[in-house]
Amino acid sequence: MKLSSWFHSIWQSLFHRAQAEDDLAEQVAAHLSERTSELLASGLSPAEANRQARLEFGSVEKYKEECRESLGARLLHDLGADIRYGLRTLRHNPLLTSVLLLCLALGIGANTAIFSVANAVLMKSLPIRDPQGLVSLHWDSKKRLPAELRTSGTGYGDVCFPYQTYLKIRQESQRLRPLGITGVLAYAPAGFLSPNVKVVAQGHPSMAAGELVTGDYFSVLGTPASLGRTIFPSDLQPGAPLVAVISHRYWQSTFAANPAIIGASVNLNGLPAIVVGVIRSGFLGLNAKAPADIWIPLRGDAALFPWGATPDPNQTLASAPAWWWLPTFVRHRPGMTPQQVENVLTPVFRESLTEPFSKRFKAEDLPFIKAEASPGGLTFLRQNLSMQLYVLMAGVALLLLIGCSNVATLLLSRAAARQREMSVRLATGASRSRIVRQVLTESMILSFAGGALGILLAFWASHALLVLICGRKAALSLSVSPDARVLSFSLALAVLTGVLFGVGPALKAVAADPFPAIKESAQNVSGKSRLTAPLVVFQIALSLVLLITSGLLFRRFAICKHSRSVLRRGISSSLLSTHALTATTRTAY
Amino acid sequence: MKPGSVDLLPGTLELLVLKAVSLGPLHGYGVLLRINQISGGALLVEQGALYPALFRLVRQSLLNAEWGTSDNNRRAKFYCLTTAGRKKLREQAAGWLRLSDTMATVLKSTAEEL
Repeated sequence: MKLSSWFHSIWQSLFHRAQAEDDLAEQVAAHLSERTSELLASGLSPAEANRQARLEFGSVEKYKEECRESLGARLLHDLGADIRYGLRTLRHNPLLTSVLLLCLALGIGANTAIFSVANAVLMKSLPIRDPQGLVSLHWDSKKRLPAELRTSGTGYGDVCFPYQTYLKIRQESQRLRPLGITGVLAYAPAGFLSPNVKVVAQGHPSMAAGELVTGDYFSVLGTPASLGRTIFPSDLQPGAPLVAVISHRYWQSTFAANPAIIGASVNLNGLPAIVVGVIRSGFLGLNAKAPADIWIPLRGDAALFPWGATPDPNQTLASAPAWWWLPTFVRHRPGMTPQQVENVLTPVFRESLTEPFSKRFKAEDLPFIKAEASPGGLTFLRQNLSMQLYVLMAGVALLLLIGCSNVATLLLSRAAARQREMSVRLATGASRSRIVRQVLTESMILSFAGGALGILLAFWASHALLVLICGRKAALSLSVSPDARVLSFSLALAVLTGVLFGVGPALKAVAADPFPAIKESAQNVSGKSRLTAPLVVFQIALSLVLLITSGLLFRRFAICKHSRSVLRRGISSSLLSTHALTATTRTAY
Repeated sequence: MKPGSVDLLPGTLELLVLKAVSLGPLHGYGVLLRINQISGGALLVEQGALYPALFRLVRQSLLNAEWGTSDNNRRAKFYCLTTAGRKKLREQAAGWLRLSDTMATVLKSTAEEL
């Protein structure tokens, strides 16, 4: 069969249906009239000739149907007819339709909202080059490390290393490259709380969230500047002028996206500096929980000491080996597992530890490296939230189930009223599969419309949700705008929902024997289906479960928020110098 | 069933249509008449079934269709064979004849020949 004629046939079927119909009708009419004339000529009466010709032809409608089928694109045409019919039916019952749409919009919308939050928090990667190749380093130790060997005071206990470790890894980079480690970077916030840097630009002071970064931070991450340049290792040389780069968001909000920012001088905590670049939009640092506005080279200037510590005069970054304050990341070549990274870097880490360590511990008791793949940056946010998110996702799934059974109940009661219509269709020759298709199409229209409404709801709700769960700052660094994954999730959900609540009424419509329903008068049609009672029980049960669970969750959230703020206030008041000891437990942050 | 008439096996209608049209372009009713003519009235074709068959053949590019005027000045759609149609007719006809010869031989064999 030639492709062109198949194409032509489909084209005709879709766009020239009317003409094809006329064509067919004319041919059949011509055929019948020719036969009739023949029969007339052979002596029958006109009425007889007519009847005879039709009898010989066979069922005109049946053959016309076959011709239409042979044109092709039948399913598509049927689908179009079903959709038009479904829309008409829904329009006839505006009240019922709105209730159904509301149920579905809430169910699908809630699911989409939670899923987009989960997507943003759990699944999105950093906007850097090859996020899969980034690994965050943690340390661990079999023996507890005494205070004189290690203090932190940062609250980020196990990701912070002494400055010596970073230096050592960088020194060994030539040797480590063939072993698979292609780059190392480190950064530290400019203060414990955020925002933490006083920025004075053109006489206007403001506070910004600053990060002190090593010279290769941006080159190892592979994040380019959208304007100007990023920070280079040359900016960390003693005597080099102090520079800074800012985030796109900060540029837009504080400097009104003015390109003249490049080269502008600002004052950072009293130190004069020059802004040399704006980082590509979307990048806000490696800690989703603490997005950064401005990046400053890590040089040890007293006014810009890591973690907002106030150093003694002559104190440098490297002069307190017991202070473990520097979160460190490495990049590895593709295919390397975190385990391999650990094996390569643990000896280097141990070499960087000072003498007191080797005096106190045997070689095998020294602390070691644990590497964690971190395409999304520091994972505190995920660890804290993943459990809660999963619970929420289960909760809204239940919500959707309740919504679906609600819709199914309503549709079932309506299906009973339409029994007569279905019976007539069955009796005039519609195949059962055709009727099932039509009822399912109606359900799909409902669920797609409900889904579209739900997505709109989710737009609005997911941002509010993110602020609620993560706090205002983190919410800004994560974007919950629906991306392809979220939208396809909603689509799949809509289809699933449509099938779920549509199958019941569809099967019921074709299950019945057509004739009793036709014989009965319209008033006698029974309104209750056998399924209604179990569905209602199902809904009540699920609703109870949801109510109780959400009540418990709500209480837990409230307690969590309260204790969080108490902890934060306690730590900030006691952090004054580099040697301040604040007990950090592994779970606090 | 009239004595001496043959019921049409499924699938053979299209072959008959191809054969009928091969003897000259025809409209729907004309195909019917011709089949009747060349089979000597022995083949019973359900008239309505003709049109789906014609449509299918056009879709498979074995027939071409054009509007024209019939003998009694009516507007009618005339069908004629394409080259592909001609080829298909040859192949199918040969196959049929082979089949029917073989069937005839098989069915005529008697107990003695075994």
